[in-house]
Amino acid sequence: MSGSLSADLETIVTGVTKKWTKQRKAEERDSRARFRRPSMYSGRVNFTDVASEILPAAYAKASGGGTLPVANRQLFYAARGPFQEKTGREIEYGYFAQNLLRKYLQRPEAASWKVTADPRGTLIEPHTGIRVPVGTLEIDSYLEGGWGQDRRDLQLDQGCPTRGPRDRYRAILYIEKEGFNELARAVRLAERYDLAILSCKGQSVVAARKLVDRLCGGGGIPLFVLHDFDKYGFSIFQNLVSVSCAAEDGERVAYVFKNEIQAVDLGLRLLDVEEWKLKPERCRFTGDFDLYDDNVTDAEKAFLRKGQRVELNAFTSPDFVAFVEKKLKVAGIREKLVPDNKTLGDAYRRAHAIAEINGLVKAARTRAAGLTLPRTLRAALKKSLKEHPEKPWDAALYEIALKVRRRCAP
Amino acid sequence: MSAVLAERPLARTAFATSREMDFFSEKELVAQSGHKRDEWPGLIVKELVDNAVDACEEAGVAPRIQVAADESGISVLDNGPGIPEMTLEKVLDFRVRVSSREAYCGPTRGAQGNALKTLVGIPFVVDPKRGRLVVTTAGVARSIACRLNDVTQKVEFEVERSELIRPVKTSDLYKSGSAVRVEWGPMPAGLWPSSKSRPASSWRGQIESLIRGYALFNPHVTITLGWFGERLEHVATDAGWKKWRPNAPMSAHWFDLPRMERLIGAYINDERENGGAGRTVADFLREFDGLQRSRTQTAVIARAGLKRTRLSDLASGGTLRSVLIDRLLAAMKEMTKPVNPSRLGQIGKEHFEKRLRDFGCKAETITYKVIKRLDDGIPLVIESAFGCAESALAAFDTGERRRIYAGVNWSPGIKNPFRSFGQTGEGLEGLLERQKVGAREPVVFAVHLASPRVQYADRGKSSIVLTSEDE
Repeated sequence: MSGSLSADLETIVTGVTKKWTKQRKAEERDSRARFRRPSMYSGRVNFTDVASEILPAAYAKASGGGTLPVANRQLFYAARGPFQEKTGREIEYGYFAQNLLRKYLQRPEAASWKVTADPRGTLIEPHTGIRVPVGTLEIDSYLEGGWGQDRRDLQLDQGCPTRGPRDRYRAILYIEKEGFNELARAVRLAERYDLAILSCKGQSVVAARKLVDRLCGGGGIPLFVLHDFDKYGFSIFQNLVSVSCAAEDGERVAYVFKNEIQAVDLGLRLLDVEEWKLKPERCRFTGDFDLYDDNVTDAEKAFLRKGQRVELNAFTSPDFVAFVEKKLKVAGIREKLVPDNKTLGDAYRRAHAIAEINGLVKAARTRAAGLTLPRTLRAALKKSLKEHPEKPWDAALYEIALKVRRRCAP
Repeated sequence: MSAVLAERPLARTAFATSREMDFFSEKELVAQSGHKRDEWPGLIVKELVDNAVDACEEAGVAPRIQVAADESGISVLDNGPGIPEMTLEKVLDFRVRVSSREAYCGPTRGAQGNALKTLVGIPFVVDPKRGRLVVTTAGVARSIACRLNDVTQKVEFEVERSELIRPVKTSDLYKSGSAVRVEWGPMPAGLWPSSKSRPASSWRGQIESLIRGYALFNPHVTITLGWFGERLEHVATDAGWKKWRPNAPMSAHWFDLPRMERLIGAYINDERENGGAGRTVADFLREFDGLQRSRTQTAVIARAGLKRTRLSDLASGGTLRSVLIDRLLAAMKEMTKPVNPSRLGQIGKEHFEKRLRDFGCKAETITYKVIKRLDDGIPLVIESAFGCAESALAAFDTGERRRIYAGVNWSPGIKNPFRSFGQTGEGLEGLLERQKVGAREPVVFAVHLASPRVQYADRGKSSIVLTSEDE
């Protein structure tokens, strides 16, 4: 044999005895290590040993039987209880998301799972203006769309173009996590309640504060804030609409609000935790509540001081949707947005015009379908692109068609 | 003055003594078997169980083996097809070494073919007056006793044949199969024959260890030990377990030129001595994996340029025609795929875990590893398992000691067969010491190697050779 049987024997022997050797060496260094020998073999069950038993059930629970997308973190919350039961140990999110779940998602049985991670990065197409966030579902959707020319009929958009909240949305819903965007899109939460959804990772950035200051301040549209039930969640709510004392004292004010903003706290509270039977997780509670935290009840403060917290991710996807909808209704978001009479009249006339234009477009397409293509079309296109390399081929083609039409016009 | 008588020189006569005596002396049996006399009880069990399990596998039945030890002998009973009459006759011809395996390459338990011959000699050496080998097959018992002719210094065999006699106390479970018993005269209570008449109980550990080894390395074998009336049984964990059968076709990739020459030479010699129709090269090819179809055989023969050639044509007088054999071997390799290591038979994690738990290891302490690779056409599977005795985890010195089970091709060694390897030649035990798995540790360690090309250092298969080509 050209390989070494000796080396194989050595590898396999050291492999099976590795754990024992480590323990015995520890015992030689410190005789008290002998007492740890039973705990070394304490019937420890590894997370990987039970992953295939737990994850499918956790995914089914978190996704409402596979009907809704689930964020990594939501799946983690659905699985961590069973992991604790089976192994006797708490599983950490980093290990769960980066290792255990990542490996499990490679399996064929998890191929159809819609588990989302926050998009990181963007794909930008040339000429089309299409920007695709590099997230699981966004890229899946892009890939499933098929390639090549969009062969749908040319039609003017039936909607009434707007920019900003006027005549388009009636409130901003701020979510302190990005992971729920896909779920909101799947259930069309923003569309059904005419809401703009704004999300950041944790504390809001200056741009978000500037946005809510302009849109919601001084009698603008309402701002609703969804946050975790923890000390940090309450400060996220406060810092989105006002400058914190700590920032002022430390001269670290990032943005000075110009308006007073009436924000509504839709965040997770102790009553919600009890109502939805959400499981708290352990955390380190440091410092104390600030003066602005008069929004927080004594019972909530006592709960949080015990070193517990509950994330929005503790909801399953269906429960999260139900929770938000309930809160929105309580906050008065019930009816769809309808603009004033003048806007309605303008939009009605526009709708008639669009219907007529769309009819003309259809007739023009029918006529164009019968056109004979110029023999030199490809050569002309190449020439044009050589002269204007920044142009896309279809824009150059349009110019050729325009020239031909002008030449042929009576 | 007395005359001084001239001294008459001694004219020495060159006496001829029989070579047969080589098999009937302790010294020669030790040399033949590779085991000292104190290890012979283990040797008897190992040789008989190896043969029994092989026979069952060749017949395609899940082996059920009963080993029994009592004050006057050791017997092994199996549910195989029985021992052919011709094999028994050949066993008694001590002028030649009879082997059905020696020239072949394959992952088999035995490869030397001297097992039964050794077992004929052992009872004679142990007890010259009453020692005998009793072979019962198909309801007929043959008692083979050897007696020394003091004058001729030749061994004379006394073979008694008796119908429906079962000298071995066997279970009625087995309607077919065979029973082989190595017997000596009854000894004083509790003693077994050795140079010092040791108590039989002192061999119990050796025999039990072997039985456990068979149970460990053979998921399909149910094996029972009856030790002076006490019973120890290991039931098969997977009676349908698949492994490379001893009579399965060989692979051309397992041969190099010297080995192929040895095989072809053995066939030609057999034809010359025993006559019979001359074997064609096509007949010969049929015995190889992947070369059973006549179309493939024709292609190999064409590539090797050996059309209408008989196997005997590959030798000229006493010389093998190496160029032709080399060409044939190359064509055989070209037209076949090497055997995947998995086809040899992997004992598996589940089986090792079950057995180590049976041997008293705590389940959570059991670790298992496997290496499977194909090396220049030679498949290799090495499996190893390690566990800690449950009692030794809770208490400090429980008296539990390390137990090693080391085996090759599904047969446990009486002694550790991996006695020397590595750069310093430290061997398995040295490596285990280095890994803090010394002889006084309360652990069970098992290692098994399956490969079609294992070379043993001795005829007793007690130590494998890791030659320079392996190193």
